[in-house]
Amino acid sequence: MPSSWLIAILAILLPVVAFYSMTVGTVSISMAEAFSAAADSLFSSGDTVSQAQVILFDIRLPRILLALLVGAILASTGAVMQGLFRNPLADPSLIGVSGGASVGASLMIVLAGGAVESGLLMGLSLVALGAFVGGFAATILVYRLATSGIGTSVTTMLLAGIAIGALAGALNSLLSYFADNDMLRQISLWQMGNLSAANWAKVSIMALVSLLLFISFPQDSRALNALLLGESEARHLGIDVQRVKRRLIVLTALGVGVSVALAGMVGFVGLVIPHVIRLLIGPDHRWLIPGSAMAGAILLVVADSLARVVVLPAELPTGILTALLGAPFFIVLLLQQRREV
Amino acid sequence: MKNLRNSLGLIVLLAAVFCSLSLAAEISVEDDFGNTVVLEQPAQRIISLAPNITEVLFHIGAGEQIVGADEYSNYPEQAKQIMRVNNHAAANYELILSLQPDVVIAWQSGNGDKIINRIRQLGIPIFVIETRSLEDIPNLFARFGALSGHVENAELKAQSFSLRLSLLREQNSAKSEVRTFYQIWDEPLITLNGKHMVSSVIELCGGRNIFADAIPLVPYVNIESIVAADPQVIIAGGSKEEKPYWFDSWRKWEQISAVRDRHVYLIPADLMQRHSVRILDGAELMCDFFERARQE
Repeated sequence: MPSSWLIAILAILLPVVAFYSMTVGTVSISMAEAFSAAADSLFSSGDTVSQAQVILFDIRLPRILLALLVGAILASTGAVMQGLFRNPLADPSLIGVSGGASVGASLMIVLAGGAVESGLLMGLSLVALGAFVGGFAATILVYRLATSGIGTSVTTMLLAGIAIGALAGALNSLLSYFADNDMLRQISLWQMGNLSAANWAKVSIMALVSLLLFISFPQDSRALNALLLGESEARHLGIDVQRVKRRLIVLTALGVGVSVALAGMVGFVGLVIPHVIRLLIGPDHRWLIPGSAMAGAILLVVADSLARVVVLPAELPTGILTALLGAPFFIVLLLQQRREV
Repeated sequence: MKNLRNSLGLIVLLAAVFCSLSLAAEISVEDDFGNTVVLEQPAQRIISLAPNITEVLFHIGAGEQIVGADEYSNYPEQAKQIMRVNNHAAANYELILSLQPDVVIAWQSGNGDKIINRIRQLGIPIFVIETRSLEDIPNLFARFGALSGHVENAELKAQSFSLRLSLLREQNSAKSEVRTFYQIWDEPLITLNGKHMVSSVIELCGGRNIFADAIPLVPYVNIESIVAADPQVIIAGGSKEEKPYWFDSWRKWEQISAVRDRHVYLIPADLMQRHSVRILDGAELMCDFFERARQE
């Protein structure tokens, strides 16, 4: 499939899916009602806010936007990591960011105790802040471990990531062991990830970070393409490999750190979406990164819409559905590819 | 020949009478899974694996006989001094054996098969409970009384529990229904469905759990479902005595009747989610909150 086609299809599909998702939820609101409520809130200045307006604009819209942005960031950073490490199993967690984030969050929950509960910073909890700092710190540690006078070794970084991940897992278990009942629940629920707590503050922060990432990534697409040939080849093509690595790692840590801090862990998207897009249009990062971003956004919006309605009036954790929807699709693609070879 | 058969029959009969006499000296109590625990005399050394069990034992006067308890047994105050033998994840089997208990009392859905079967394998008598309704609680008192040798006191406590329970039911059964949201967590929002005992307390007070029909016992819900169901009362079950930090986050949802009319209340989880005598204290609080909401 030509790359531009796929990008065009995804670019049309994404807003359609997002709009349709506005009509999905416990309360049935039709497309027409949604539009009239939208018109009401835009053009009438009345103080009365209808139930439909509250549901659409205070509950559903921030949640859909958060899902969209988180999905886009996870999938695109996944594509970047796989390119940078030239490893098909690479995903954002590889550089230690998710492990570090969960330790940061657990540490905040256990040590800060009561302070966590009252401390709100721009609509963000201290736990989210702890997660972000933890994620970033772990990434820096992994990066430092792998960097020597001659540059950053990709292999060492992979191994350091695994080591830091294991360490983070152990620290997390240790913290849960010493946590009381309430903290334990808070830790385990935090790790499950959840989009239901979306609000406009979270969406704004996420949007700022996404903007930064999606402005920066295109500059490095060619460098990533050159890196596919190998590091020394890329260097001979005149690319400052060390600079590109550092930039991309910092951007990924930032994007994933913020999304984990705001929405918890959402697995699968970062690992598999880039593969799906690569199977469809090939490994050119100029198309792969935006394609992955849009596909990741679509997958997470669809999965989260389903999560809201499949067990009405309750809801399912979104992470279950991303894998349940995405994995079979990925398997079909793999089978097709095998037949072609 | 006929005589012989008759006298044989007589011997069998006598033997049966004799046996049942000697058995009467033993204590034999059936647990909630049909397993009979037989003790030669009332248990003097009891291990309780769950806080609700500890509370009931203290209530019927057997608190002194508890030699080991789980980490969460925090009521009454003396319960905190008991040696800790298990938590949510694991039990210290060596410690349990070394305490030489006459009987271990476990709670099926709290302790799970892994711990219960291991203790059974070790040859320690284990009595497993699974309390499903408020009406089961007086019977629990009676059986614990039999196990621990506090039969009379337990019987008295059982009667007074039943009396308080039927009084509450009488007072509230004819009253108008109150739509209720019972919250156990805020991010994500978590509640309990109709099969949980908290729902029977809600019904006891003439309320209706808005998520009674949800499929999971402990459903995750979203704010939209709550806005749609429009509860008249929101009960937050914090694990501490004071308000949970998320108590105030309801303020931004003025569309919900309970929030608009200020009927968001706290009932400490220990009073609601433990199947012991204190659940009636929780029930009385809840009935009172419903009454306030009915005044609107």
